[in-house]
Amino acid sequence: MRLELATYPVKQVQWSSQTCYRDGLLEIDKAELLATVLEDKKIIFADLDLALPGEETRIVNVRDVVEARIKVSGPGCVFPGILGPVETVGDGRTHRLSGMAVVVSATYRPTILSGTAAQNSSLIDMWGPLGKATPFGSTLNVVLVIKLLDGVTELEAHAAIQLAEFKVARRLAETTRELATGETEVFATSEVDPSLPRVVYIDSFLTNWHAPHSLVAYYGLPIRESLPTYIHPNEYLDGALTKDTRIGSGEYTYTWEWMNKGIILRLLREHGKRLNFLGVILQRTRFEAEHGKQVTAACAAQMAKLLKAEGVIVTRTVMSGANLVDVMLTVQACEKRGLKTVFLSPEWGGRDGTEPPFVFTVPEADAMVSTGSTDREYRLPAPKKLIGVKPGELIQLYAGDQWISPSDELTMDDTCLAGTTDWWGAGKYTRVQY
Amino acid sequence: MVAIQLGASRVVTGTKIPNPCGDVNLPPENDRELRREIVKCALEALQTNLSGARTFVPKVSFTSG
Repeated sequence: MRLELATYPVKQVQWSSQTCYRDGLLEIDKAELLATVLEDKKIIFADLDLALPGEETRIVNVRDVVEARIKVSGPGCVFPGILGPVETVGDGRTHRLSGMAVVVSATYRPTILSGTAAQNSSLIDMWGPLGKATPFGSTLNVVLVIKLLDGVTELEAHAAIQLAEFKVARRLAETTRELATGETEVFATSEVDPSLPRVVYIDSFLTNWHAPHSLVAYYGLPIRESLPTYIHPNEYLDGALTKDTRIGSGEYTYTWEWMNKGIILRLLREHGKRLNFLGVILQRTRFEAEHGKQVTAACAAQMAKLLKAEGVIVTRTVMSGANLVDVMLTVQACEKRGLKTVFLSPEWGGRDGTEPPFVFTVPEADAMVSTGSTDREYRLPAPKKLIGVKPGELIQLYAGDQWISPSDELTMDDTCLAGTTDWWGAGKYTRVQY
Repeated sequence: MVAIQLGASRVVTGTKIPNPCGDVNLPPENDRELRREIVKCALEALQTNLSGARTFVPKVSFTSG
């Protein structure tokens, strides 16, 4: 597998009578894009807005963020299984618009009214403490605001929101198809010096069996009660991993983060230099009985062992105790097989950091990297501009929560804010030992 | 596992996280029997003198997953 990823930086975005990209300027024909979005009859309202870094703008009802990419050669398309057929991606050439993101702010009438299967959303500030903490505070954001027809099912809502944002992202990236000037980086896991340490990445993430969508999808297929799966890291870069777009809470992950996953990029860049990157083991977690937890842990560790790994990096998603147990047991199972294992995760710890960071640990987890605390509190000043609601409209972040006024000053947890929970070590926090 | 780490002294192993004292996949009479066994085990645990934390395992079987 060999992927050329060409970057076209966006420095300025403006509305125009045509959609095109030239020398850092992205012009967008709003009417053209909205017509594409409104082809889906489940979408009864659509609008586009811009949210730029430094502006006192708040985006609410955020469901997902995605980067504009398009495949210009090689098999498949970006977002295979969703925007095109299921063809293994990660080969050929892909173009990306960097420095910008497509944010989708969506509302619909939910049918699941409580519990972990219910929809949720988050917010993004383009300035102030949140603007600094989230990666989406420093991207030029093209915000797609949509409202869905009453009566859609939860899965239809997810599919409609996702298709709309992916179509907008694809159209924007399409402007670079004929260009050859982009700065190109090549990602390949070719044969390397056999003496380099062999490293595998276990991408452990939470999925729900009981929700309409499981949270994480591979080639558009929600991953449910599966056992570990071995994949090529380049598949991430072409959008093979996607998410449930009904679930916008900051505690979860965004498509943009899956496409720009720091660990994957770094391991690919170090391949052949400092290490031999063997690939990725996708591991579904949140098994409900100890039996399942033991099986997935043993299976992932055994897969790493069979790949002759010497070092393993393990990460997780979602602040769930059930998933933490599976991941810790995986660390233990790897270490028991003689594989040096590093676990990277944010922690709990309470407001002042004095409460336990984890509810479960194993003695073998002796090399952990903290990516910050999710119990951190943010005080957000009132915005000058709001995107995603009409003036005076209230928002609700989690089903069953109280409705709040997004035009006010707010005090919120890390988990309510898009992009602030750092699952994969790409966040903006600095660690201080004390 | 989690209960022991959090410092509980008498721990009875249940079935699954969403329904620790039962198994919805079993017919109602078997589910009732299972729940009864777990509660009996808990009552026995309460009557046991301890010198340290201990896990009590009820004599039950349940569908895995």
